[in-house]
Amino acid sequence: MAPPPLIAGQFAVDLARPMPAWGGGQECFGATDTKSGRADHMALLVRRDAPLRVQAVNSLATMPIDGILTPVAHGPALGPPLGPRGVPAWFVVTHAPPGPPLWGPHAPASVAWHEQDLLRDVLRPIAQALERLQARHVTHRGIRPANLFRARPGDPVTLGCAWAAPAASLQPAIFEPPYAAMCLPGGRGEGTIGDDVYALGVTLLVLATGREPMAGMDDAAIVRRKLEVGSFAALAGEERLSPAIGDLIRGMLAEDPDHRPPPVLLADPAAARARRVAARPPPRAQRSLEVGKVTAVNLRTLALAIATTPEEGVRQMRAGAVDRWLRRALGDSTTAVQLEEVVRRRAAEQPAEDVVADATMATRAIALLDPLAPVVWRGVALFPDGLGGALAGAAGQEGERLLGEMVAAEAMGSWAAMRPERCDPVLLRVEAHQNMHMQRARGLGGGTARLRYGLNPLLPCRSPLVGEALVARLAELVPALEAIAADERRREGVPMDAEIAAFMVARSDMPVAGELARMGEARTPEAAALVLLRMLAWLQERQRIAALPNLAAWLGSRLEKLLDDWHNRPLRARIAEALAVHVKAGALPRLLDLLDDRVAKQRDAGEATQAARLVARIEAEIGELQAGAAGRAASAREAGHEVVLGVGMTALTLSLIATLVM
Amino acid sequence: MAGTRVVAPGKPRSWIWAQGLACGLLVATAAPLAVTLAVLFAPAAAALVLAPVNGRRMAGVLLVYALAAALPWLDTLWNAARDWAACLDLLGEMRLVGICWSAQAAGWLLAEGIPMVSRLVLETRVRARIARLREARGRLQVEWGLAEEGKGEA
Repeated sequence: MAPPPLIAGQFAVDLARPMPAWGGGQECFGATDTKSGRADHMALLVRRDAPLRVQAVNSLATMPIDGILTPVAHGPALGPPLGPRGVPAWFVVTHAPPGPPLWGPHAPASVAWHEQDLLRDVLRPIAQALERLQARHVTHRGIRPANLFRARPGDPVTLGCAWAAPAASLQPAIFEPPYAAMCLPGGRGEGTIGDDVYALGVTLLVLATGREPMAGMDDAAIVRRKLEVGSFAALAGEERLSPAIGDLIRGMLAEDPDHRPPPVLLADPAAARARRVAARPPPRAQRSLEVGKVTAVNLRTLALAIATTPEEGVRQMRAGAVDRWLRRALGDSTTAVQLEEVVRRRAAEQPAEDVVADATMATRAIALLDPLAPVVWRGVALFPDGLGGALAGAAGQEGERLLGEMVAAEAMGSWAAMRPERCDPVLLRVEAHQNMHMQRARGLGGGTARLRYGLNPLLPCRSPLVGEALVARLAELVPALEAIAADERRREGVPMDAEIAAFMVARSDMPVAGELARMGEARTPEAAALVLLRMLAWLQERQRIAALPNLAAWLGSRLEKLLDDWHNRPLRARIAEALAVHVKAGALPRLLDLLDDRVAKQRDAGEATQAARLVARIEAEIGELQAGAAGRAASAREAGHEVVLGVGMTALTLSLIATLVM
Repeated sequence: MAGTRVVAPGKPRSWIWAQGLACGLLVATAAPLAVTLAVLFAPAAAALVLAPVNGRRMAGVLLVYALAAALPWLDTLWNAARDWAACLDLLGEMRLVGICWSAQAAGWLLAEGIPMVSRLVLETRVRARIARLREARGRLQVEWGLAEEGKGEA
């Protein structure tokens, strides 16, 4: 039987030991530390469209935090069997939870907790853990009863994993602030520790009541309800809570994260309860405004309405219905004037039919109406630091096009400019500009794919060429292509496509973009293959891969036509022989030296020109010689007559002398 | 102006009239000598009239050979009476006529043969040169892939 795959050369994943509900919503298996022999670990499988939180994992792996299942290692499973479905996979290894989850089908019981138990076993340990996380500038974003574990009643709970997927992407809508819940699952961003406090507040509410609030409502309805009446009212409005727990939860569920008690305060529940932030509920309009299918009753729901039905929202804004409603129904002339300015600016800058300008206007309007709201672009919402996760989740879907459009319009910069008190608008504008530049390159190595890999350092390459091979780092690309090239039926075209190109540009520190541009501009497939050979040869040398015979055979077959560029036939034959030798040896750099020797090619071309001139001269001389037969005959006749006449004159002279002498 | 002969530029003037006058004077003043010369130089005269090309040139060659052969007898005739009897005696000597005509025949043979041999030598050398050039061209065409371009060449 094949040995189990090892993570980081140490942890063996036992695929036969699945641990459902222990992975915080992710597929999870038992794991053994092969060095210590302890089997009290678990490995969380990272989905290919949901990259792990690299910064959080790296930060926590070096120094674990008590009370949290922090990661101890991560990496691809090397060696067969490769993954649960026979395909290679990336795993994050943590210690196994001390016991079953507090909530869900695998929980011992879902009953209401006593107040003291809640404060002692849940609030305090989690608050302390959050305090330590905050000190490391890391958020959890996975706090909910189903992700809290303990061995037995009376023990403090342990926070489960939330590292093997984008932050908060696995959180149900009720446990997230409405602004995070309305985002794409991968686009919720790392958030702040205040978002963890919110989730902890909802968790306390669930445990205190023994049931999940707003059950049966869809996510959109939950978000709308929370924004209409406020999170506390929406979640706990009809619940009977003890005054201590009620006060705590009310503070923790404040809409504004700045109004929520920090973890350090929560560690002392009495102090946290005493801390009251005077946050007035948003003023409610005298009459509602229908925007599409959404009814706006205050600024937050108006922003939500424009976010969810952007076309109708834009139409009403441009028609002046929204600012009239703001003035007359809500009595907020300040916001109305600012909104008018946004609409006027859009009308002045771009033509009326420009949908991108409409979307930018909607983004600005939403940020103006509700500064806590995320960036919204034509119905797609996300926080700026969630762009990478959102792109990973939306790859190959309609959402990817919208996200690309948003990046191209630098919508995040526009969003930040409308709420400078809530973020660093200069920093976000610069980031938006950088993202736009990263995406701007067209053709190979550009587009949203480039941005996707650039923002997700461990996102596997999703090229159809590499198929199920796990290629998350540049070092894994060439071996994967070599393995694919082993099957001759898969050797179609060249081993390169837009995904691989974008992956290489994002992961490589060599100027790959220039080479890819040359490849795109190549006039012939052979010239393109030569550029690709240059890049792969560089990788082979850089990664010190001894031989790539299959890849060499693939590229060699595409490059054979380049031999025609050599004019000298004996030299061409010698190069063809050397090519076959290097292909067999799998030496891409040698292939490149052979086929891309520009000095030798120039010399060959020069000599070929000289040879052609020489042939032309020879042909001209042959022609002249063939055409000169008549001239030569005349010359011969002339010369013959001269000789005969000379002989005759000599004889005549001798005869004359003889006659005179006698 | 009537009576004025216009000679085309570059065209040699004809001296036939002068030759005719000289022949007429010779026949009128020394008829036996003229007859003797006519008999001895008959092949040259025939070449002048009958040769398809370069008749005058061939006639000149034959005349030189005839003179070389007949000069001693003509000297004898010039020093003798130059009358009809001496001329007939001379013409009656078949050896003289045979030598003179043989010399002219030899001249004719040489004039026809030497150009032919000369041409043969020239053509042989040219053919050898062409063969060497073709070989060099073929080598270049094969080495540099120029065969397609030179295909039309024989």
